[in-house]
Amino acid sequence: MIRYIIRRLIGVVIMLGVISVATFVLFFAVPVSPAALSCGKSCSPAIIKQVSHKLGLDMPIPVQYGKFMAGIFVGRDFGEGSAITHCPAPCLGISYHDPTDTPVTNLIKEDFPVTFSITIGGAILWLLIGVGVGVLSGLRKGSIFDRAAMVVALAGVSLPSFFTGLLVITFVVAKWKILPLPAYVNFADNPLSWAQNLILPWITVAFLYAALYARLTRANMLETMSEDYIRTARAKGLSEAVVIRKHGLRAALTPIVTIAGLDIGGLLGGAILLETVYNFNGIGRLAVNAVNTLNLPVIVGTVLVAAFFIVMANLIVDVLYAFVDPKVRLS
Amino acid sequence: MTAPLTTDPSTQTADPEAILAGQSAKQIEGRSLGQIAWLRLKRDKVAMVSLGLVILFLLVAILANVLAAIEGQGPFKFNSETLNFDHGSLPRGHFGGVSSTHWLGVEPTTGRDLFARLVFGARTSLLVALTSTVLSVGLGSLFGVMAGFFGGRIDSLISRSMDLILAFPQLLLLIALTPVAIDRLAGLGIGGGAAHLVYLITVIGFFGWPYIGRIIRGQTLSLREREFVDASRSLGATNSHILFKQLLPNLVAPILVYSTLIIPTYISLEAALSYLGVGVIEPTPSWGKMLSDSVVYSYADPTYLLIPGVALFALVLAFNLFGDGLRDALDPKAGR
Repeated sequence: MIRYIIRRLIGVVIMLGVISVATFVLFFAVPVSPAALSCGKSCSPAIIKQVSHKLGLDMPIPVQYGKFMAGIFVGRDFGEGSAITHCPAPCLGISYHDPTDTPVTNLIKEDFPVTFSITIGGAILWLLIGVGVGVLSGLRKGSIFDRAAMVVALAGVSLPSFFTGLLVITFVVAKWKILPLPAYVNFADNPLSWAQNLILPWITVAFLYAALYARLTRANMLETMSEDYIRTARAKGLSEAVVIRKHGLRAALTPIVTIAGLDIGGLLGGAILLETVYNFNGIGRLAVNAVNTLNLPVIVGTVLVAAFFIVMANLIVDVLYAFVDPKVRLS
Repeated sequence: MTAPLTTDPSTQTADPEAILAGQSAKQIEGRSLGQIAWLRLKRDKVAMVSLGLVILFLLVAILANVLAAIEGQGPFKFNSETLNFDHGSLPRGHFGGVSSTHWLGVEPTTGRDLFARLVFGARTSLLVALTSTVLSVGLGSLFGVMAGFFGGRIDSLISRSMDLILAFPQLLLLIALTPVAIDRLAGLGIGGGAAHLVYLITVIGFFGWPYIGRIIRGQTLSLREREFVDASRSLGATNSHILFKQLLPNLVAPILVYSTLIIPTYISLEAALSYLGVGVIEPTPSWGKMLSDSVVYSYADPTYLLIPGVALFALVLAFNLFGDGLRDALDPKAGR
């Protein structure tokens, strides 16, 4: 087990290294100068040169990459003389503008609680509803409950989450005034208000994912319950409840764990559409704003952080799997 | 002891097929797997209705200019006479200015005809979704079948590349790469609206291939061990013959099913990107862009929000339903 985890950890480190190189090449090894891109069209060559120099973009790409990686572990300084900007470790570079010279790490730290709140609340909601409905549907295939649930689920997977969000804002908030327009409140400041403001984003994200999970769980459940070992378990005289709980659910739900891990990891790196629809300043919104203002250091930082979450989610899922399933450890 | 066999000339021309044909008029028909699947699909009413809807949307997209011409409007023309400038430049009349000249009303502020923009938007949506699906499925099948068939180093190289692409946050990367990529395309002489379309198609297509690649690789791994592959190898078949003539035809079913299920996700993705402002640009009509433009007016003119949204929902739903039906028809075991 320990050996398996160590092997996977080495794999993760290599993967993160490759991702950082790939991101760097994608964004910095382009023929156009990243400084010119950050600076916009109405920019004089002198300013471009100054910006390039300050951000270290006038150095060869491998040197830049080395400095960037060193910055993550020990921090780095931008500029020289009196106009020096210190960026403490873990440094992902400094924002070029809006706000100027702020370490990207600080921006991400500031916005992370918003994304985290949306993701975790939404995930709890969609896992409870999606998996619950999926299991019941699978056990009562063809019943009225199953049919109704599957029609709703199909609508759920076909409704893009940002359209659901726009509908909620237009009708639930603006027209019918059932709930006020959500605005993020810190959990530490007022937990009740935090939850009240997040309820609409949670429902919006959960509607899509619960629908996906209900369909998936139902399909897994149907497949598992028609396996030979279920028939064997019934033949031994086990009660139906025990057959479902001990033999059915376990096999049917393990694939769901994988997908849940990846979906949560993906959302933690920025629930872009939801944050845009509800105008919450999370990591996704930070990234979109950075793209709109061509703030390259922030773009690279958010991409790397999001990739980090996906890789870590993968790792956690794999390790959990290894505990459950000995085949994984040995392969 | 053996008497010479006396042969009657009539027995020499014996033709069992002729006898069978004479016995019963009912022909025994050989049915290919495709025919069986089609028969099953034809019996599935939901699948047939959704297929009809999909074809309808395709026709709307192809005949967008004809439909707009029948209505007598164009997607780019400003119709200021339809707007009420005393009332925030909102359309005159009910439901966002629905009338006999503007079937679905007009856009606030500009007065552009929404029916024309909707049908041209269908063209954008389907063009992007279908071409990027072809790209994803093409790359995914090619690399998937190669990884599964050759194994060893080729497999690890392809599998690790798939892991790498899957580790990137897809939507974020699509957004983040936009300024860099558009700049690069401009360098290649592709500018304006075309650059955004080319960009959307290539990035959506490229970042999607590992999903199908993994499925095809898994299928190939199990097919590779089957007897018919051994048989054709022992007959001296080359690798490329086995790959393309023996394995690929057996992979048509999963490829088809996956393609129909990937199209709706790409339709939503294109809409999402255009909604976020990195997809197609003005004046190209797109459902995602219509949705993002409608947000400002959603309270005063909810029709403008609902029109592209409902169209998007209907198209995605139609593809999802058809994909489900196709999967049931091609692989009766799956998903039941």
